[in-house]
Amino acid sequence: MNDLLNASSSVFREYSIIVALASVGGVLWVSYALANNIGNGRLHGSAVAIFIALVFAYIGGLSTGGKKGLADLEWFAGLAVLGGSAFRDFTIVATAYGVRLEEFVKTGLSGVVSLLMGVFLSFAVGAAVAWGFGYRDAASLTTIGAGAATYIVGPVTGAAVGASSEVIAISIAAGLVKAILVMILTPLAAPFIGLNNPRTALIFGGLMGTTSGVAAGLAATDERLVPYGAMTATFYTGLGCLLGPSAFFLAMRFLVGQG
Amino acid sequence: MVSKTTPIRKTEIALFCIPWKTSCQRWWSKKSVFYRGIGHKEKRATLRKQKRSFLSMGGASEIAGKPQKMTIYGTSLLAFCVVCGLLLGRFLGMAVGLEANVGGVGIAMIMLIVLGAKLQAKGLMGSNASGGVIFWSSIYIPVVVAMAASQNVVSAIRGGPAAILAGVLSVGVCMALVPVLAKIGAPKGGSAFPDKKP
Repeated sequence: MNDLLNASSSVFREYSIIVALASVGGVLWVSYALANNIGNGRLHGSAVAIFIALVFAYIGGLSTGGKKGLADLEWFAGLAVLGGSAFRDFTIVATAYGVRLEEFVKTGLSGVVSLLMGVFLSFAVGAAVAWGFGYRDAASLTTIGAGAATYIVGPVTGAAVGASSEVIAISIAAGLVKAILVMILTPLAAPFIGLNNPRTALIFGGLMGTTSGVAAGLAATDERLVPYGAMTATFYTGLGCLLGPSAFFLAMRFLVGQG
Repeated sequence: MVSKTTPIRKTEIALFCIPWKTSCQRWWSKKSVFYRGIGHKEKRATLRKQKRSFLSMGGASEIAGKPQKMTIYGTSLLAFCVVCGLLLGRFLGMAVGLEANVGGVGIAMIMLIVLGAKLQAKGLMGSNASGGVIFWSSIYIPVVVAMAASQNVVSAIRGGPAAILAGVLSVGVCMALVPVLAKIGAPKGGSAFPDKKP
C-alpha cells in the first residue's frame, strides 16, 4: 500500500502541471454546476470557482505554512506554474485577439486619468489607515500606502525608502487583501458601478490596478471585458513603483516632517 | 625593345564594364528579366502572389480540401507578441529607473491586435492559426482559478487589522469612483458592447 502511494506520488509530483489542469477543470465544472443550480443564474460560474480556489488556497496555506496557497502542497505545485505570471500574461494577451484597436484609443485619456487617480487614491487611503494605526514616520506611511496600491508596489517602495520588515509585511498583506477583495467583489459590484462595457472596464482596470484582482474579477463578471481592464492595469504597478518611493515619499516627508 | 602596348583608356574600361554590369544585374535579379515584357504593376502583383503563396505554404492538415496553416503559427505569433511586449515593458521600466515591467502586457496586446488584423487582412491567418490564439484566450479563466488557488490568502488574513482596513478601504473608494470617472467625457448614445459575443 505504501509502495502504491509512493509510486503515485512520484507521478503527481513530476506531472504536477497536468494535475493542475485536471483539478482546475474539475473545480470549474463543479462551480458552474453550483452556479447554475443554486445561484439561479445570478452568480457567475467563474466567480464561484475563484472563491472555491481562494478557500483552497487558505487551507493549503494553513496546512503547509507556505506562501503559495494550495500550490505549496507538492501534488498541486503545478497550480503555481499554471497560475503564475507567465501563463497569466500569455492568456491575458490572447484575450485581446480580435479586439479593435479603436476601442483602446478612444478611451485613452480616461484610462490615463483613472490610472493616476487609482494610484493616488489607494496610496492616500493606505497612508491614512496607517496614520490611524499610529504610524507617524514617512517611510512607514509611504510603504503601507504603496501596499494599498498593489502587493508589488508595497515591498518595492518599502525597500527603497528603508521601511522596517514588519511594515513591509503589512504592506504586502494590504495588497493581497485588495487583490482578493477585487476578485470576489467585482462581479457583485458590477451592476452598481455600470461595469458592462469596454469603457468602464478600462477605467476599472486603471482605478483598481491589481492585475490578478482585475483579471479574476473581470473574468467572473464578463469575459469580454478582460482585455480592456488588463490593458490599463498593466501600467498600474509600474506607475506605483515609480511614484511611491519618489513623489509620494517626498510628499509624505513634507506632510509629517523628516520622521 | 619597347613594347608597344596601347594604354587602356577610360572609355575602354567603361565599354568592357557595361555588358559585365548588365549581365550581373540580370543574374542578380532574374525575376526582372523573367518578367520583362509584363507591365510594372502586373509584375509586382505576380511577385506578391508568389510571396504570399510561399508564406502561406506551411501546414500539414486540411479542412474540407483546403490546406490549413498549423495551429502553432497562431500560438507562436501570440508568444512573439508577449515576449516583445514584456521586453519593451522591461526596457521602459529601466529607462525610468525601475526594477519593474511598465505596461509590457499592454504593449503585447496592441502588437497582437495590430499584427493579427494585418495578417488576417492578407489572408495569412487561417482558421487553424487563429485557433492557436483563441485556445489560449479560452484557457484564461482556468489560469485565473489556478492563480487564485496559489494566492497567499493566509498572510492576507493574518496581516492584521491595518492591512485589512487599508485593502478594504482602497477597494471601496476606487470602486465608488468608477461611475464618476466613466461619466467624464462619456460618449453619447449609451455604452453598449461594441461587438457581439463570438
